[in-house]
Amino acid sequence: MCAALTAAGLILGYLESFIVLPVHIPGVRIGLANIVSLMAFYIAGPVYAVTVTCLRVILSAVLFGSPVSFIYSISGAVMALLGMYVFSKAGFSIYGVSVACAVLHNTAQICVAFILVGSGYVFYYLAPLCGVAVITGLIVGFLSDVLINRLAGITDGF
Amino acid sequence: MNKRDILLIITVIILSVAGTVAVYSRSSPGIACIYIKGSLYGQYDLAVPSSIHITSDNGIVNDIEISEGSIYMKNATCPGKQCMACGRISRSNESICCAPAQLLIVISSDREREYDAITQ
Repeated sequence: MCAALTAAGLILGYLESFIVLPVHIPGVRIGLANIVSLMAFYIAGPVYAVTVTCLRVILSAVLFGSPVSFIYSISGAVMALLGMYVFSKAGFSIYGVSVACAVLHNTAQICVAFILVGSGYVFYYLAPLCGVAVITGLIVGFLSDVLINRLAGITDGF
Repeated sequence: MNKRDILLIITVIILSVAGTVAVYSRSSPGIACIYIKGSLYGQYDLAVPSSIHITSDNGIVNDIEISEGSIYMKNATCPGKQCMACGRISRSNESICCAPAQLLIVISSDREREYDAITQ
């Protein structure tokens, strides 16, 4: 199942680059690949979520990315995974967890941008980005919720 | 979706709106530095409208004006008038140069250019 989810995540991440959002902020993405991480987390547990996410990030960096994009995505992914664990333990549903993931993902990437660009101005970007993160987080949460329920019959064994 | 989720979502929305408003209302106009022959002549706050008259050693008169958060060369007695053609400047690192008068105006401010770095 790890392999199937990783493959699905890779494709989602790639397809996402073709989706242009009607927002005048560069670099805004829906974060569709996080659906796979959430599914792995809720179906099979935190260890699977970490495995699937790390594999996806490494593979997509090798296939489509650059060293810089790898640093951005791995930092975002690590924070999102931590957030996933903490927020689900704190009693949030998949929607809350998804929004938290999106916000933490952004925060981590802004911090990396701060280190790479060396300018504090990147933090100006964080507030509007988090507003968008709520919307994309809800979309991803909804899609994950639907998928987990629909695939319940297939994934019962895990 | 439970109560905690809604609380989290509302908190994030409030913080992001507050943050966005705080960031965009804070952008203050910058400081204009005027250099003559490479040495600093004076620094002027772009938020304060004023006019500056400078007569250089070779007799060229530069009439500089600050208004509406920007600075421009209102009049100059130099032959080319390139400095007047520059128009208004207000963003960081923009400059107006009057070569015959050996005069340079540079903005240094909090307000960066729209994109100072893009990585992908």
